[in-house]
Amino acid sequence: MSDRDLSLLSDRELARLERDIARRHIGKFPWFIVICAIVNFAIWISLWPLVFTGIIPVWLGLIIASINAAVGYLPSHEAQHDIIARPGSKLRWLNELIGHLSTIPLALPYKLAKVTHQEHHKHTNHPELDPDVSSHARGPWHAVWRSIVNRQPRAKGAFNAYGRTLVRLKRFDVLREAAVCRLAWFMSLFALAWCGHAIEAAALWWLPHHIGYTYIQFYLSWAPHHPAEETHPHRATRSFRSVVGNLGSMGMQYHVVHHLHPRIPLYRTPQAYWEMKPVLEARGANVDGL
Amino acid sequence: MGRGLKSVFYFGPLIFAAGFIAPLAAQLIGRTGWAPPFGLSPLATGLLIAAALGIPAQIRGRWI
Repeated sequence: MSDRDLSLLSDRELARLERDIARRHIGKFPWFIVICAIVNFAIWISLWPLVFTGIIPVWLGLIIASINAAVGYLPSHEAQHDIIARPGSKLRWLNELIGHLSTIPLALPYKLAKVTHQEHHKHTNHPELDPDVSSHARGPWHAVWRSIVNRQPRAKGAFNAYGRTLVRLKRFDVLREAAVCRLAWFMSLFALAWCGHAIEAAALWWLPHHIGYTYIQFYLSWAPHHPAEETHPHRATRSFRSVVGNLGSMGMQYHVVHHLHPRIPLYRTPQAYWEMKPVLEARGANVDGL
Repeated sequence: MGRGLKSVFYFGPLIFAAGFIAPLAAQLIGRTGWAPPFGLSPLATGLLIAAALGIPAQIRGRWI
């Protein structure tokens, strides 16, 4: 269909076209992301004996673990949107297992991530209701700085913003579980450190948590929503061209499609974007970046 | 339980400094072979570094 034809359609007809395209990409079992989750977690686990026994140096362990931490968020993100298996389905356990396991290298409790991420979708760029709004920044370096600042103990963003969101939603169960998970992470680090493995613990878990979290905040929170001034679903997220490509940006160049149709698996968002782009343009979406 | 957890997180910077930064600094000193001044042991030096970082972080609510 040409752009000219689309201009003749009403918004309702355009919305139907958009939904029809989205539907073609929803419901496919995301084998790739499931395998990615298992392999990524297995690599991270194997780093511990490899580094402890000196088979690979600590610095190499740090680099690989940081990649594991960032990459691990992606399968969990799919699980947060029930893309691997819907509630009540036969493979639901796999969805939840992947969700929980994948974010262990990142030390991010799955349920906390799920509930706050759903709020981010509902209220994208809203100054008070979007839990990720504090990641907004003037430019790329400012975004990195903001991500670090937001993680300070009494900062307003990141985990403290997630805590406030859970209190607002009265999800004290999730808040308690997240607090226990965070505490367990700290206790693991302390135990490793006082047993003489502080450097290894820092390289394989503590620093990867911070590096991975900064990377994720940059490509999932800042870049696709910059300048984060609009809240309309078609304007709150944009397509963008990353200097590290779609793979390096963890597939987020096409994040606009994910925000409009969150049940499309990550690996299908590029294809869905190109099919949907004329319709998105006709509906005023922020798709100038690609 | 909730109040207990809250207190632990409130004193997070101090606890993290003592629980992680002190042994980390001590082990980095040991790994690099650096000899701390005044005859201090690596662990004593690690605890001093942890206090120097942890106490301001506890007061200001930020590490940086």
